[in-house]
Amino acid sequence: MSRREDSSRRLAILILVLAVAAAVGVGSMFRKPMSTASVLGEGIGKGHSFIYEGPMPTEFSEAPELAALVAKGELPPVEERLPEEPLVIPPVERIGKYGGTWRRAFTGPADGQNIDRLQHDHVLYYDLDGTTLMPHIAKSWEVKDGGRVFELKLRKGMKWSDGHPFTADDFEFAHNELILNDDLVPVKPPWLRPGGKLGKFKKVDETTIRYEFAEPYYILPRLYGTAAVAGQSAAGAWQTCVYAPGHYLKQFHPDYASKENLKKEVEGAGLDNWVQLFRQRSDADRNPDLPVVAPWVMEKPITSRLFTLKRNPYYWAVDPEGNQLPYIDRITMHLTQNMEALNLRAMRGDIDMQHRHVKLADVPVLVANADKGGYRVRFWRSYSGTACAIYVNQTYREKEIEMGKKPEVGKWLANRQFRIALSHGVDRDAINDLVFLGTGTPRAVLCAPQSPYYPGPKYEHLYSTLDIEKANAILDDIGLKEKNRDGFRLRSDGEGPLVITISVTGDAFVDYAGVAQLLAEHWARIGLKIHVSVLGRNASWQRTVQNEHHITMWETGASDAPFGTAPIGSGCAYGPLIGLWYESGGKKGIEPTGLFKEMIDLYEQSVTLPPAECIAAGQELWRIHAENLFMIGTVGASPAFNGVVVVKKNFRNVPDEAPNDSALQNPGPARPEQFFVDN
Amino acid sequence: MLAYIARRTALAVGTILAISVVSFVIIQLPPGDYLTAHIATLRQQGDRVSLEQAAALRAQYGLDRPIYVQYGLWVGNMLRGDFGVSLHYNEPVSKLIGERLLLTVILSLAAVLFTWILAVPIGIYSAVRQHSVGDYLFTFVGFIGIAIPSFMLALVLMYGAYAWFGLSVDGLFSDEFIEAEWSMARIWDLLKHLWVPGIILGAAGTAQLIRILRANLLDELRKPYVVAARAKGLSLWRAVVKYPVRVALNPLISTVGYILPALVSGSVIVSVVLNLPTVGPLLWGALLQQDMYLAGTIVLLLSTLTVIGTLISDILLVILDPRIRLEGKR
Repeated sequence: MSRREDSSRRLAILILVLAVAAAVGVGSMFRKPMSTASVLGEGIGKGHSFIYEGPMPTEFSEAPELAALVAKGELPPVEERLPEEPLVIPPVERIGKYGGTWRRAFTGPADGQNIDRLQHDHVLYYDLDGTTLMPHIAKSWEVKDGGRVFELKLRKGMKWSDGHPFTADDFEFAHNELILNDDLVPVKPPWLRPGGKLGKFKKVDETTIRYEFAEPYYILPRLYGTAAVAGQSAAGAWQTCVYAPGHYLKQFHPDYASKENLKKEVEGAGLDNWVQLFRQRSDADRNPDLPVVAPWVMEKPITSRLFTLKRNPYYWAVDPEGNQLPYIDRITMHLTQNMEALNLRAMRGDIDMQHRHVKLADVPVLVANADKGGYRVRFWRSYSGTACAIYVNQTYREKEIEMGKKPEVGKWLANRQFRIALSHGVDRDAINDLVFLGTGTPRAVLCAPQSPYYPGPKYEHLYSTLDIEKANAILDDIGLKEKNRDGFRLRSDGEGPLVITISVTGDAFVDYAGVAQLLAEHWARIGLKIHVSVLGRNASWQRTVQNEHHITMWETGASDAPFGTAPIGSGCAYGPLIGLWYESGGKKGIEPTGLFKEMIDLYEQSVTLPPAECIAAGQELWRIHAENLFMIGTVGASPAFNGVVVVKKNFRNVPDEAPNDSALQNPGPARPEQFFVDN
Repeated sequence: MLAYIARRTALAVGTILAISVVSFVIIQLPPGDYLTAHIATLRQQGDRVSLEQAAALRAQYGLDRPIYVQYGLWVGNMLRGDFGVSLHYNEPVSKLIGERLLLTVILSLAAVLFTWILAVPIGIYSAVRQHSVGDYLFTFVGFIGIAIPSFMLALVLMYGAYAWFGLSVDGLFSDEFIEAEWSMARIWDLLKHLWVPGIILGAAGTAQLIRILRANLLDELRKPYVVAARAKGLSLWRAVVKYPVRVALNPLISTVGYILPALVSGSVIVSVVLNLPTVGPLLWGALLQQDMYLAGTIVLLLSTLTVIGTLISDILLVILDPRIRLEGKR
């Protein structure tokens, strides 16, 4: 070997060593210690209520940019734009300043909820406590005639964002021309047909509307405050919103527009039929010309890479000093399809306030960079009792029969003792520590304790403590005593070990795949062989709907609406075929018996029962769940689902804790129109 | 030569047609359809949609028709220049693909340029100066380039750029230009942002190309004609560049056709991470959502471009590689 080659080889080794050293050095720079910055906050907004009891402001003011337009004569003065009795929203911290841009990020056109939840244009809505119903678009409501009549009073003089009056006619148009139109809304919204009978709509006068039902329907006002009825932002695109800007939309409706014009419009937009066109035109996220009543009006649609909104000059709410809301001028949302990139954007301080898509797993890095990025991190703990419930398929037996097998896995899944053993085998503390970073509360499958439907503390940990001995004893007892060499329990039909598959989606706000891996370890300790299958969200959902899963995981849904946990839809992951039976009116699936029938009865009663009795029914429902473990609870009250909030230090009036619940559409209950940017 | 091109073009049309059938079928293969995917998405975000509603909508969207009817309608409309409506965006497919395709092509060109400008000289140097310090250095860097997944490189670069320089390196435009009309200012802004994704997307390819070029060239350099040329007194660089390099470039040229599809499908993750407004993430989203008209059109467009690219590379090879003869010509 020549001298030269020898020296170059030595150099190569040196480079290698240096590179390794550099890699180690870079790696250690990423591992910054987590700072002590608290995520609990100073209690901003604690006990705050948005119900205003002070004197109605008599003088009104507006944002400087609107004042300039008024001065130029391009906009009527603020007094004329506001309704006679505007909604007064007391701010969380203090009266805000006008101006500023609220920077956020979104993940694409399917992420409409990102903005719908800020717009929260519901007819009635919930206070910051998440349970008190209060006026919003409607000034007041009344339930009459033994629960059969629901009457709403609107705000006189309220206007759409284009200045056109907002009246009972807009409700009438939405009801008669959209909801009742079979092309636009082939299946009428469930809230409008309690017990399967469609309610009637009546316009009483310009500011009064009324719904009439055959049976008492006490729960309706509460539904009006949730996503079940929703506002134009969330439901308008599917034409199921209860109000719609008739004066604008009539030009796209075949009952009003001329055939030729409509045809021209459809072709001009490159679409196939008027329904597609109408959907596009009535979608507040896609059509910038659509009049709205939300705090902000869309400028650049959700199909853009920069989705932007600007203030609604006709917004109908003020603060106690008479300043028209919203305080913030504009919202800009960056298309960021990758959650890591989105969280990096937050870390850079390029997001002013957001919880959607902010990952719990990134909290340590977010907190470490909080000072540098100039933001604070807050936890909004979920209202849903369990962010991560284990759904045990009670109708898998039918799948095995369908495949020509003798039910074995399905037999055990449907065995209550088996499920109790499963539940005792779960190490909830480990799941809380490792997946939820210790932010949750290990508990049974129940609604949150603050919910009126909570059945009582004695159910809090029922069958939900780690007890491997007990779990093993139960499994030995019920006929699963035999084990193979590896210590796994054998099937009772002699075909090898009992293998149970947990199928979850890897594509959700909660790290279900991580929990599933832990469960596989935990249940190995009680002799069960677990196979984990992580799927894309559509594949996972298909598996559930097709009744192909043994066990899957999802949240349990809102604490305020417990009846959704009854087996009433084919999406019911613990009994898809029972849900299908109910959904198809008994045509498909299998007929529920016993407890399943009882739960469906409770659900049906809940619609008509007066509030107090309805609460008792809800408690009964949770009791059935806690005792029978069709869903097994793991960790609850965690911020993992839509609840890790990043707020810039100068972004004010954001409460440290607010209701976190899909049905309540957080952060809506924190009233984004009163957020402001302090400089 | 003309007959050759004509025959190849005819074959290409057949290939594209076959691809259209296959891609349409593959997109439909997973269980469920656009509506179930849509419901799954809504559910992930905490929304609830009833399946009866979905069934009614399915009929409205025509998703309940047999697959060959759907295919027939799609191809029939396409021949008339109508690519259909994206179910997910509720907008014409052509409108969605337009600018993204242009940016994808620009980005591909940037990545290819970066790759070639770096890989060709380095590859030649490494082969000619085999076992030198430089060769080892480039080999080392090259292996790292091959080994690091490009999305990882992107994430590290993004984090590093922020942590040490306070820079944001995602996207292809500054905020004010994202949705702006094309103008000189916007083109300049694009050029300013192009280098980061160009480097990241080109890095793995560069490393690979250096290795291929080096190996090919080493084979050639040992051949007698090179030795003869050197013995006759031709200078080293002239002898190398004039013949062996031309031969060694063969694999570069023959893979030109694959660059575009590789960039669209192979680098989806990088595009998603770096937030690039290219066709890749659009295709990925369309496949996840089973938005078949959008996905089908993109796949078809890519296939068409690949077929054209292959055709071009074949023609280029004929010109470049002195050893290639067209059939029937003596």
